[in-house]
Amino acid sequence: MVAVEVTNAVPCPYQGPPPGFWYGQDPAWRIPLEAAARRRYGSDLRATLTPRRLTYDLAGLQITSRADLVPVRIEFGADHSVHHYGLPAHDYPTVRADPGAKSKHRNPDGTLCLYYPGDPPERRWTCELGLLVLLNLVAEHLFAELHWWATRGSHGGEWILDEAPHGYHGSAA
Amino acid sequence: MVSQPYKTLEELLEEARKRIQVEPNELDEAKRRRTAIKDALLKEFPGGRVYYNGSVAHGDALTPLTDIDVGVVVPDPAHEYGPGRRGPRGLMDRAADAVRRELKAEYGDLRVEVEGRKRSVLVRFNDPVRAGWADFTADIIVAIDNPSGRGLYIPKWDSWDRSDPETHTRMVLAAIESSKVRYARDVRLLKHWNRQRSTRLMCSWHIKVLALACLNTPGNLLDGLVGWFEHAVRRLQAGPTPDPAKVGPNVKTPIPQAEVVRQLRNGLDLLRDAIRLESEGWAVLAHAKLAEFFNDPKMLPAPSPVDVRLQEADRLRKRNELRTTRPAVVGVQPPVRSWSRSK
Repeated sequence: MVAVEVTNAVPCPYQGPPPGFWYGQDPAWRIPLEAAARRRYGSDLRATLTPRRLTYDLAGLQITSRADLVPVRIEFGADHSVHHYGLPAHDYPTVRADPGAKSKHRNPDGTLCLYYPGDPPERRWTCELGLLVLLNLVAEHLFAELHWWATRGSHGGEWILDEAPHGYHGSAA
Repeated sequence: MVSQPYKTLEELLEEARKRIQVEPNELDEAKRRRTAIKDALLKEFPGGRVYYNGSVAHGDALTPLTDIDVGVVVPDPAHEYGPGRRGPRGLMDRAADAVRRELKAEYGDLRVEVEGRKRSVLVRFNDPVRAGWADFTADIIVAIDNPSGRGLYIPKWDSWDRSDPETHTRMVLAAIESSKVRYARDVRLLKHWNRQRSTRLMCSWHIKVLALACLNTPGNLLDGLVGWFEHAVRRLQAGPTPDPAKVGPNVKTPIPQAEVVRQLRNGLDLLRDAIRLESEGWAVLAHAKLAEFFNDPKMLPAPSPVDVRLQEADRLRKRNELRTTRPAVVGVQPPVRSWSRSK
């Protein structure tokens, strides 16, 4: 749980990159995405841009009741076609943390399943909400994993956050 | 299970403050050594006056106490010293010789350094106040009055700088009195917080200068901390911090001011989170936030991780019950549903 600046502003959907570029190369997309997270984490948040991928690495995320800080990697791909369930790629990054941890809500490749892509925008993360909000969701998800394990994990452990049924069942929007 | 009633944040701060404050025997020993230096300096510079500053003089010393600050204002009726005239080195050598001569009998391993010192004569006692602690040192400033303006001239290598350390100490003591000691207590907490950073954000004097503007009335420690952070963020965003005596240069930060502001904001966020959690009845989570803020389990131990987990789980359960779906707002966490693509 990290304080974020609440502006009460309704997010303005991203209008897309200039011709010949993808969104990760577009400062008009990146600057508002990063702003609050940069204010919070400074140089602990590192961005790496390659021709088809934008990666954010956070050195350590604080998880409630955990003593260690958890490194987190968030990747945005240029390609809209892979596992995005109709969402634009900039609204559906892959998030990795605690590699190898067993969880009720991870994909087979270990990435975190933070939200159901078929939910309406107000029930999922969209890029306009900013990276800091996404990191707060990651922190809550990792706490939920810890609590799930502490309450017997796959043998009836409690998942403390709202859940969507596994598998894609289409859009509820 | 969390025991009731749980300690308030203010009670936790009070306990933490007591753990870091200098102990009476440390303070007595420091003052004894300070008096020995004072006597040596006044013997060397008859008609001079001695002033004290630093943490012991300002009532905000932390344990372990490892240094003291003493100044001597040397009479200079013929205006022999000062900018454009003689530099401070001769006076610093005399002060060093006097301390060696007068204190050698009691502190046999005493070392006094002048060479390579920008402002002060450094006294190394080679005799810690308590076994196992760092050595005890004293910084001696050899100053002269400024005949044409306020304050003193203090050494800066071979030349002189303007400063007004006597007014500084008077201002600090006035704030301690007007705040009924809250000033000194909150400054102590803030100095400790600053020391727990991987890089210190500011010198102790900077903390105290900022506190002069916002910790000069009575009140509780927690409100004082929040007030200091709010003021410090505003003040540092506005530019450099001026000398409160309006004599010396601005007080500088050792790292870029924008980075200092960023870390101050983070500290303020943690304090506000702790206060909000306490007001909502999540005492264990509030305690955990305060422990995270200080980042020193010896000074302010965190609650047990199991208690924290159980209370956070309670908090999230309650939040889930109360949360309603509404249009997305920038900066607000949406009520997501955890998921997995595999069936």
